[in-house]
Amino acid sequence: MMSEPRYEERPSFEMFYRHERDRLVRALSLTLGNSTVAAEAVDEAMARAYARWRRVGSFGNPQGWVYRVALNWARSNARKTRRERLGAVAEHLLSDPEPADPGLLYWISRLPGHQRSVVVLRYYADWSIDEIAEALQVRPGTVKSRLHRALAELRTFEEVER
Amino acid sequence: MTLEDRIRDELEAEAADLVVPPGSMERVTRRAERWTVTVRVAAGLAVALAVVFVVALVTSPGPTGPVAVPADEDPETTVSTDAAVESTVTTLPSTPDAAGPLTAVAGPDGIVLVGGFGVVDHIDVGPVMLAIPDGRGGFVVQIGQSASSILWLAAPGSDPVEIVPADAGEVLRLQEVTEIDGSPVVVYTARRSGPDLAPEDASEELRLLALPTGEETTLGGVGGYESTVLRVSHARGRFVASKIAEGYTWFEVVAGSDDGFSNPRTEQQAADDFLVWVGHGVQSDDGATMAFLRGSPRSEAPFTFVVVDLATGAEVMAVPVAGAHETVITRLEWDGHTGLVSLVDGPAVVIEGGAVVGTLPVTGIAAAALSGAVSGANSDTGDGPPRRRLRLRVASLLGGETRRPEQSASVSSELDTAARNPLGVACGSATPPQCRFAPGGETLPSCSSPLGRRPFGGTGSAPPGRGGRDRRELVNHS
Repeated sequence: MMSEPRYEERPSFEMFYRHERDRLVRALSLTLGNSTVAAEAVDEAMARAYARWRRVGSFGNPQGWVYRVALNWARSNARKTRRERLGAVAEHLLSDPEPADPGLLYWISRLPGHQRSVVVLRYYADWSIDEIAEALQVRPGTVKSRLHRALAELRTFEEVER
Repeated sequence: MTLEDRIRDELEAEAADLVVPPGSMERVTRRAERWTVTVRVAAGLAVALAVVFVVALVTSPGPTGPVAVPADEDPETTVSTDAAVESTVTTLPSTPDAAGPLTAVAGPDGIVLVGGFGVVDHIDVGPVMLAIPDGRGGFVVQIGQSASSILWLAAPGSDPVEIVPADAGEVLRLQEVTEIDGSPVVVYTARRSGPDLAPEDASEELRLLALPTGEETTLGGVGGYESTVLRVSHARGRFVASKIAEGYTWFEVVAGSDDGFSNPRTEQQAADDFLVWVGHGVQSDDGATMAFLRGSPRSEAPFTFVVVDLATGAEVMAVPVAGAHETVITRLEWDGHTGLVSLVDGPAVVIEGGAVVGTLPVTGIAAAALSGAVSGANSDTGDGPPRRRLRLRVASLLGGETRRPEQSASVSSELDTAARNPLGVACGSATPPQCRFAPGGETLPSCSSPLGRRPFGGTGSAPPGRGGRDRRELVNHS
């Protein structure tokens, strides 16, 4: 399940950080719904990547590694502090009254976390199915089915709204 | 415009509006240094804690402390004065047809064998975390929770043998003892983590070890970074793991065929509804049913003991277990008839016929026995599949004579009318009782144990510093 390398040759950590950090924070923000937590998590994951860059830098998709570590860190941290799953934004939105004219983004935020992740990585980060599978450590078939279900649910949400 | 294009646009627009807190390379490198130190310190602390835990277990005196026995005193008269053992022996109903469970309870004072009429025997092997009868009269034992090797006590009086040595980089977890191709097989998991590995590089394997050959088989990975197994259960070649990852809990066939396994909780279902927690799944030996615990970590309501028919997926039993919650459940056993739920700091709860019928008389982690596990008597196992038994093996409890199941009622009746000591521990009239516990450490006349009470740390290959080296000074086996 190895995806095609994103970098033609192994980048320096500094170069990787400059290119990827903000985009990863944005992707994680869209997944978690909280840019502060996302930035904190990505910085933590970047620090871990830096500590072992010789190995992580050799991966075909080091940003996938950083995304996964950041996502896990954010969820783990949320559990430790609140004994609640993160997905905090989705839960927050679930408890809030539905907006009068909910947009597509609102419905994306209501997807289960694992579906939201693949939607963001596929349509915002523009990663391939293999890259997403590698990052989330699931089979490509699982990514496809999650994506399929997410799209089906989004269609349903919209149809119900109309 | 397609839905996919609209999603792209919306996400791009939202991302563009996000205010991203600034980052800096310098902060990341400082953090990396701090993180590296933290990992090293944490690893060091983990090793230190493991050592402290094992030392605490080994030196634990029990609620009232061990009784020092002069070297020339008959070792058979040395009985623990464990108050917990003494005070609760009559908890289980003792009607003839409520024979109840037979199980091994591991605790700070060794292994206590419990039958339907209370405590049957006590094997003083020092503090143990888990002891599982091997179906041949011995026990597979784990002393500590982590960094602890797995030992085999081939017979209660024999010296323990280290069958799975502890590795500094691995956490071993004894799961169960099953039977494959007619031989007992130890099922355990080995989790590799530690100072040389980043947390996200952790891995966990499911392994088998055949007794007595020592042949080891690795069945593959079952866990990794932030994912692990709570329990692995074997039945008819199928290994089912209760898995937990990122707060999700589900069941998964990790080895063997999943034909006929109507999974009560798949990973997909878990991800869709993470508020429901399931775990400690145990299949009955015929693979027909599986028991597990279900609840919500967010709810104050007690967890429910659930049994499902694995062929149809139908739920056939659901019993709330008072006091059971995610963090206090230590082990579950299920033999297709009786269930046992072990809880932290309390006796295991016994479930039969869709209701809680009592609790075991001693506190500790209870483990089911294979057929004939207590006495080694195996006369009714035949060529059939291995059977995990929680039901009372009346004959073996009475001294080794094995009776057919149809004789159980009469034997139970015999037991019921037999002399009973004031604590309610049954004393069979036909044969000497194996062991009894009495207040103040008093031993009843003619109380002898064919199982013996030999602590770990004898002349065999017991690992130094584990088990009862200190206790050997208290009990003379010469």
